[in-house]
Amino acid sequence: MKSLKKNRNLITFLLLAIGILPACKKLEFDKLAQNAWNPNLAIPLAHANFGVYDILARQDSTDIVVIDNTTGAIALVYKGEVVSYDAQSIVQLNDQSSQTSLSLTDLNLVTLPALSGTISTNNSDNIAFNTNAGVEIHAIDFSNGTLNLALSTSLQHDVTVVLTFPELKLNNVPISRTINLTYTGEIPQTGSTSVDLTNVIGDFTLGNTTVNTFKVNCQTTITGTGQPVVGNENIQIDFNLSNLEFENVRGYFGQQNLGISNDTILMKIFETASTGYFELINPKVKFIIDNSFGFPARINFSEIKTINVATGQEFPLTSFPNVFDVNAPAVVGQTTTSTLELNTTNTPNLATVITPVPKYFYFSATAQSNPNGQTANLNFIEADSKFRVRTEVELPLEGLAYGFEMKDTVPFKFNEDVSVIESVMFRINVDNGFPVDFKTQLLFLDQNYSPLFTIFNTPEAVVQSALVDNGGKVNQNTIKITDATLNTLQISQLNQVKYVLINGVAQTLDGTNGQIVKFYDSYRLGLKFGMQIQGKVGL
Amino acid sequence: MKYKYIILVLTLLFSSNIDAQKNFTLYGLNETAQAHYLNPTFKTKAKFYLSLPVAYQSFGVSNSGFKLNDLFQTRATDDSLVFNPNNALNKMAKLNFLTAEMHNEILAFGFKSKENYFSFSLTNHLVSNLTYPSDLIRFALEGNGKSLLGKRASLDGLGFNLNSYIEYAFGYNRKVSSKLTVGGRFKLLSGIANVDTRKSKLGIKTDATTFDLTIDGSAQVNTSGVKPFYETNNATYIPFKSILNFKNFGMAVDLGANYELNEKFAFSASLLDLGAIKWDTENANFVSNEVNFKFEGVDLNHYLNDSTYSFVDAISDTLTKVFDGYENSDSYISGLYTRFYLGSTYKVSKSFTFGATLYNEIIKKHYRPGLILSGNLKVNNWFAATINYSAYARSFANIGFGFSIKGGPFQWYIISDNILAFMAPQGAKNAHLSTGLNILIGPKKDQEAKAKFE
Repeated sequence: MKSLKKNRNLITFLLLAIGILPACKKLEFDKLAQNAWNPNLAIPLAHANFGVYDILARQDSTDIVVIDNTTGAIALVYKGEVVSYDAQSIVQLNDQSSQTSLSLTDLNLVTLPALSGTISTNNSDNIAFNTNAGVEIHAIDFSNGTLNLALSTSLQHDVTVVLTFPELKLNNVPISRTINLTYTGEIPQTGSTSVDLTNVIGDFTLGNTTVNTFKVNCQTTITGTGQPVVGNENIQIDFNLSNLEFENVRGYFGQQNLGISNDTILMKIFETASTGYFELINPKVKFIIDNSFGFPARINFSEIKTINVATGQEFPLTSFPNVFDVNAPAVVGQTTTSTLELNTTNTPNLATVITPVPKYFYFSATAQSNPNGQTANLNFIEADSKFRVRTEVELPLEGLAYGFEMKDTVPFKFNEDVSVIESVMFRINVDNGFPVDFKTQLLFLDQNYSPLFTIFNTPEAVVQSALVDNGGKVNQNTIKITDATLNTLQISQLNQVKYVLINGVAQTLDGTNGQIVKFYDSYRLGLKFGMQIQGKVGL
Repeated sequence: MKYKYIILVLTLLFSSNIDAQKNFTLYGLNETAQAHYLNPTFKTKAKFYLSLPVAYQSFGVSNSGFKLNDLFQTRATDDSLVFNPNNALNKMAKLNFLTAEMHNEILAFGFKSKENYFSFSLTNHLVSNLTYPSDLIRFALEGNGKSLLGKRASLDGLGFNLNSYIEYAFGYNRKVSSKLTVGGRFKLLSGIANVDTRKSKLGIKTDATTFDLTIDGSAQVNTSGVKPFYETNNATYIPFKSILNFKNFGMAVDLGANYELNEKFAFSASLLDLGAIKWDTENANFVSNEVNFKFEGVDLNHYLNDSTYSFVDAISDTLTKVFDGYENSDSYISGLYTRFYLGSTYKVSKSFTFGATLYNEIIKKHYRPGLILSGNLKVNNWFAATINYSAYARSFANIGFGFSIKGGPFQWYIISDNILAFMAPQGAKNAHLSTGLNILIGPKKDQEAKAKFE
């Protein structure tokens, strides 16, 4: 007992130690209730910074040109090459053949029981050079071709024929070939040779007296073999021209139809447009002809119009200049460029035909070479000469538009598990530097193009026009944030969506009230596309 | 070698969850031989002590962020238990610590010689610390679309540190006057493994309007002795070779003082583990670029203009460039977790004292204090006990308890800084347990005193 008293401190201490222990309630995990994890993720999906080329000329940057380097004013230019006529279509060098026959008289021979000794004669002949109709050739620089020469005779004697073409020259030396026939007891005797016409220059005028003709001189030497000359012998010479190609040709090529008929130019800005009003201050249509043919031409326009494919309506241009003469280059190797510009001055209704959002520009025309017939100046043409007619529909972006409706359907595929998604909010953030408003509505379609649901019940202004100064130039960007939320039902249908139909309506700033706006190459549109997902994951 | 990597990860995870020994309670049992690990002036009254091999072990864990109770709540309507991590999140500080320590004494002895006291100990230390910002948990729980929308989710400070080393400690103390005792321990350290997160800055800001994600940050992590676990050409690597070879050499000191103002009041102070280890072997140091990257989603300009454009490839290439860095094997020095105690005791009676101790530690430039109020009972030389209340790591419900009992030459003790962790782990942020078995020899008068007490 005494010992216990002495240890009262110990007892007190132990009691204190026990007493302070709290009655701690344990966690009863068997009563753990089901719960959910609800993270919310905000994700940037896409971003872009589009310039005028990205928006208006994405497929082809040449669809836009800066028409004023000082201000950067731009125009849409849709181009087409109506025709590109090459030289081989103008002058056609076909394979051809001709024949010359030397009689006994030409050979200074008479009927003899036996011929001995040597008899020489000189003869010549003019060979016609055929070409396509109406083409009169004065001279050709050949780049390729072969002249085959074939000799045949019934003479029973040795024969030597020297054929010389005084106006077919290689390095300024007339071409000459010799064919020797040594009698071996058999007739007819034959022999041949050929001439490579590469780099040969030919004159087909016989000294400016005619066209399409060249001369051949035949120097014949007959050495008697003791055999008779029966009286019906001759020497036949065949000329065969093949694979002819020219470096250049001079002459007169006639009044040929250069083959322009009709063509259409797709005006891409209207490609997905169905309706709308579109007014430009100064649209232009240019026909640009590059001519390296050495002859003049004339183009006759019969019809110029625009076509609205959606409605089938056609809008013809009237009072436009329908004849246009194309000049010829002065010397070989040059190209002339002639331009016919149709504008609101020479074609008064040009602005109005573009107004009802046409899709195609159409014209039909014909072109003829040497419209004034033959003149003192010779035509010329080189192998790589072209007659190109280009068309440009130039739409300077100064004007107004409204009700400019567009539609497009794009494929859509979404195969993710959406059971853990409670809601999805898409956010479109547009920093617009263009003077254009754009409203849109998205329609989600199933595989049969049947609507499942829409985002925006009515077209929503996702792009709000920038503000402009008095001159119609943007002086302040406008930022527009648009949220589109998919509810649980719509999310559950996402896996069924196969297409998204995008309806859009655009208009220039205050376009319905006649506000004129201008487009410059400095305009930008910033786009940010984000998504906020509310998840619900069972725990 | 893949399994080695797995082992490494598991080891690190395990080590980061086993211990956070502060040994507040041992500070109250200041005549226990191992108390001089906390203040070199503390010593047993025995003339000689020998700690039996592997007898002193200390384990613990501390999580400053939250306790299990914070994760679960009882629903009033039906008594169900509801997992509510948001509640735990609300309890967290901006930066939270999950610390763990393990100390394994391999051999220790000490002896008195007149007024001098000499000691030696050979101890394995494994100290780890995971620092996690509350925004990391918030990001995982809420995503970035709720309270973090428009804000920078700060993951600054996110990192892991680990220090594994063998300590050879030589201790000495001496009563330099009738009131003042001073002491110190000089330690030679042989490093085994280290992970040192030198720099860790990472932030993710979500733009409230566009949802653009801006990532900024930089990092530097030095490691030693870790690389062999994930490299395939080190199949024979044995980490514990480092125990004796001092290839990763370090030094540290503990300093202490004890001043007995009068018969009632005494004051003590100690500075522990002031030192560092130079890591020279099996180093792999990773340094990242300064990152400032804005992710805005798919670049439509590229996508529309280049049919071969692959967003995945593009973002992969970009991230590779942005988060690029380099690795080196340079030597580096890492400091120990330095801490210091300031204590005072008031002797209520011959066998009971009341104590107050201020614990201080610095982890990676972050200062963390702890306050301990203790009652200490001593029954002659055969029994001593201590009970304390401590506030530490933003935890204000820690009750420590420990006692030592001596039978013959054997002294056994067991202590915990928070016994509540064993009774109600769901309510504890700190858990700790230390135990040891010493052989004490002398002085003779202790035996006489014991007889008198009985």
